[in-house]
Amino acid sequence: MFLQQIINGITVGSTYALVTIGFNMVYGVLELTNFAHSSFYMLGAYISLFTMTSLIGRVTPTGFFIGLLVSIIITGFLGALMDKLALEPIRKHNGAPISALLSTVGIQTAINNAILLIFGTVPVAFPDVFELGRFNIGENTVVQNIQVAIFVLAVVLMVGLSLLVYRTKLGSAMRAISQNTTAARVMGVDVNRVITLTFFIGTAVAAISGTLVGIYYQRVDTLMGNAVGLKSFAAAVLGGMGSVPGAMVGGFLIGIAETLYAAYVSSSSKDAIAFVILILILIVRPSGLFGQKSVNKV
Amino acid sequence: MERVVKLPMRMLEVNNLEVNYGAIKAVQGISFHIDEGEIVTLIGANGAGKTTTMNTIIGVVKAAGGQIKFMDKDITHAHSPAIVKAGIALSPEGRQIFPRMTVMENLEMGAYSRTSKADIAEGVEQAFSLFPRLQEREKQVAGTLSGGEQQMLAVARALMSKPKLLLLDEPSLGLAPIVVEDIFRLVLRIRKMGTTILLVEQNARMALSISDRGYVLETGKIVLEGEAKPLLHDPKVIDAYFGGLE
Repeated sequence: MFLQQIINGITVGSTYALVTIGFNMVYGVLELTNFAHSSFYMLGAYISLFTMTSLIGRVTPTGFFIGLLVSIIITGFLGALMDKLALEPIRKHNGAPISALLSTVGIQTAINNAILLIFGTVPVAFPDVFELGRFNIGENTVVQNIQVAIFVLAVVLMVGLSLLVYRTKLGSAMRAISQNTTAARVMGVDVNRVITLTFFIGTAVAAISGTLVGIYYQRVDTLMGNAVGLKSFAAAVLGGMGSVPGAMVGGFLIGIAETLYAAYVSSSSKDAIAFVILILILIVRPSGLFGQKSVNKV
Repeated sequence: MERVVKLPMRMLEVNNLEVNYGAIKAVQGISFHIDEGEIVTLIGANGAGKTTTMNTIIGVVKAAGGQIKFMDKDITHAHSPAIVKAGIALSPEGRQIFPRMTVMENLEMGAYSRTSKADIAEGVEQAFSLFPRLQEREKQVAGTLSGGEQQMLAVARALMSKPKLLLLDEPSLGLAPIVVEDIFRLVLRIRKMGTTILLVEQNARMALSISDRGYVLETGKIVLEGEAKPLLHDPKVIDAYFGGLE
């Protein structure tokens, strides 16, 4: 029973971790809380599903992968577009940080309502195209192969994104911008281009996560972004705002804690546990597990 | 027998440059130039427009009027990445290092405009020969360096792009006198390596003593210019910038 819950928790946690990484990459570069991030997660799931079932009409693994690819590209592109249209002008005019934050709230509302308008309010079934089956550990612990696949894919993406941030020139530019934007510009970094790319990558990863959640629960619905958005925010604070490893650990911890709570205490109030953790962390360790203590050296 | 005198190349030419911050006219139509191989200094009090001028040359601040020409190319409205690629680098006022990156990562950021790994490695080697102290601290996080070391890192980082023209903004600010002397000695060494230097300083006496020429800025205007030696003994300069100790 306990092992079963841990396995379920790791699966949920993998998807939280993926959403949180994208969210944290943007925060790391801009110190901007992107409220629209979870909307891109939901949008990504819808685009994958719609492409597979309606556009190419092949409910097969191939159809799924084509749908996922289309979703990654479109969602990433829309994320970059959001930065270009709604956020870059604010940066250009040295607008207050709250303006950018409110813009992301506006985009969130726009995307959520666009989804309602286009896809309707009724949850849509996400066909299980893989039918991967399951295996047993011991007597009463069942592991679905899709859970293994989600976990492996999440880990691969996390390692990939960590390498991107810590081992590539683009990643160095991202970190440089977050530490001193003007100095990064002086070094010849095209700051706006790097930020737009960061949005592309972050939202593209959110689309992958949304799609994985869709196929795991075999449904997508117009509310799937809300809870995840708030939980990934809690995961980001728990792990440390702006930290990529922090996002992973935070995502996994929230996923596992929530699943255990649902199994042993109450499943109806499970969404609250992320926020209990959030509040505790804010009291005990405000900078999170991997967070930078904010040092403003003069 | 007549020798062909090679005229020094005009490296940077600034004509009637104007820069505004909102309603404030920070730079009000200044003109100056730097020839290849020179050390030229801009001196002046706080708020005279020295740093604004530097930031405008590198493209971080936009000019409201006038023209900046670098090696005969108009760069007035160019973007920083293009300006750095063309061969200008800035060691900014207040160091502005990347505090949570290591010394090595800071240097690598300085070489952002370069792509060849061999060039970057050569740059690092050169930086370490100029600043052995930085080599000792290669893996240290830059925010934990002393003020003097951070200043050295800022200069070394600027050199990593292998600039033809190095802009040095207040390299002596906040440093102990003995460190200041080190820094100025290094400026001379950097020039010897073939880099032209525009130096902005509040420490006017030090700056003029290592420069070929100087310009004196006052509230956004150039009020005095000429060879560095005469400026050093100019009573107006002595009165205004040497604290009246002569």
